[in-house]
Amino acid sequence: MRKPTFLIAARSYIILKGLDFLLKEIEDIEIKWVIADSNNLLSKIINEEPDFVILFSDLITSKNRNEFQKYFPDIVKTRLICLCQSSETGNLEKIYSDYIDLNEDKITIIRKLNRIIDIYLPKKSVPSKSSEISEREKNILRNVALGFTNKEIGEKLFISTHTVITHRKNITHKLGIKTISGLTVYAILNNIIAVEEISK
Amino acid sequence: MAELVHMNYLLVSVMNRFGIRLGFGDKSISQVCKEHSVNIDFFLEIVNSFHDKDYFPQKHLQGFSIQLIIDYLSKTHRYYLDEKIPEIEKLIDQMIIECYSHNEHAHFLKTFFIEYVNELISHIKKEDEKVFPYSINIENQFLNKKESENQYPTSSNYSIKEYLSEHNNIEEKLFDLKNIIIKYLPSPENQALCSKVLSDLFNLEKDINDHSRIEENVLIPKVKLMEEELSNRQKKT
Ligand SMILES: [Fe+2]
Ligand SMILES: [Fe+2]
Repeated sequence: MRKPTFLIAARSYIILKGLDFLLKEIEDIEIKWVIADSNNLLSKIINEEPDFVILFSDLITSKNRNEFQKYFPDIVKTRLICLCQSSETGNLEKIYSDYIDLNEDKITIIRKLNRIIDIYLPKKSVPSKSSEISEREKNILRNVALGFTNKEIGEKLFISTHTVITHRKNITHKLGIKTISGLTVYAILNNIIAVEEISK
Repeated sequence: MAELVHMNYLLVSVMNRFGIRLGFGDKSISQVCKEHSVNIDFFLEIVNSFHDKDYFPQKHLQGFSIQLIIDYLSKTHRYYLDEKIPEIEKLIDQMIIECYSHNEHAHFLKTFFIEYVNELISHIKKEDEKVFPYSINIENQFLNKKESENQYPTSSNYSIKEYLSEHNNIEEKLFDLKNIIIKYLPSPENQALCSKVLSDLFNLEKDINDHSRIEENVLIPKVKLMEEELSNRQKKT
């Protein structure tokens, strides 16, 4: 599965760095951070569509509140998480899906974040993460290694080019090999294709 | 200066690109830089951003002259092609014999590596022969040097934008190569040799990433600004 992506935003470098440090304790997420003035924040979120944005509460001001309300929490898939003082947690803006209390200890915050990830990005019955590729995929890999284009492979196997592309993405994802020549080496090493076949 | 190396031994190769070799005893960074006529500001920014990938003073780096930036970039090219690649190539030859003697297909690793090297060579060649001279010419025009005056934009219809759009990812094959060694070849008979190859590949990848970051975030935006300024000047006249 794709890693959950986090964008963290605050005016304060120290808060950002601290948050960054803390998030690194959570396994398998991707972190980007911005030192934000509130101006470009919204467009950045909408362009990048991270799964979560953790933002310091003072970034939402009377100036940009209305803009944010247009998109959150319903229109954009990104979830906003407010980083705030304990005193603020009682009356949070509606745009937030959840909050983190600045004064909590490390473990509590990490647990809370893990819970948030589980709620909003439930793991689909995890597609076996093993690098085993299916027979169909093997067949496609064979043809890729033989130098056929997606279109040609589709015609040969009576499937759409689009389906071929999807299969290829899955193969690359499972094997961790991106280039055609890399896939060819894999195919040779695993006897999916014989050396004599490619030298033609 | 010695402390730098203690902090990160990979910096030895960065120093070499500035013409600085080991053997500086207890001399300070500024002393050594002075002796080698190296711009110390530039040296420090390059060293720091190489060491710490979160540190990237883009604006400050853009303040240095294109000539200076390109000097460093081309020295880095030489380091890849003349030192690092031949070294890794030898190791891979050795690895195929010593690590996978029972695998009849292991030599495809070499074929694959050579494909990667060819890709890298043509990438670098294009920069050395086309992009870098073009950038230096733009800078000269920008500084109003006589020999290049009034050539813009007639000098070429090329623009740096083109380069950015085709500045392709040369790390992909390197990534694949690592994965093939890590996951898909049988257990190596010579474990130590295999670790050495891997660590060289990882270091090369990091180095190239740092290098591309300078090209894309320092050189290109700087040339772009100068292109714009030049075309504005031309409109005025
Ligand atoms: Fe380069
Ligand atoms: Fe490059």
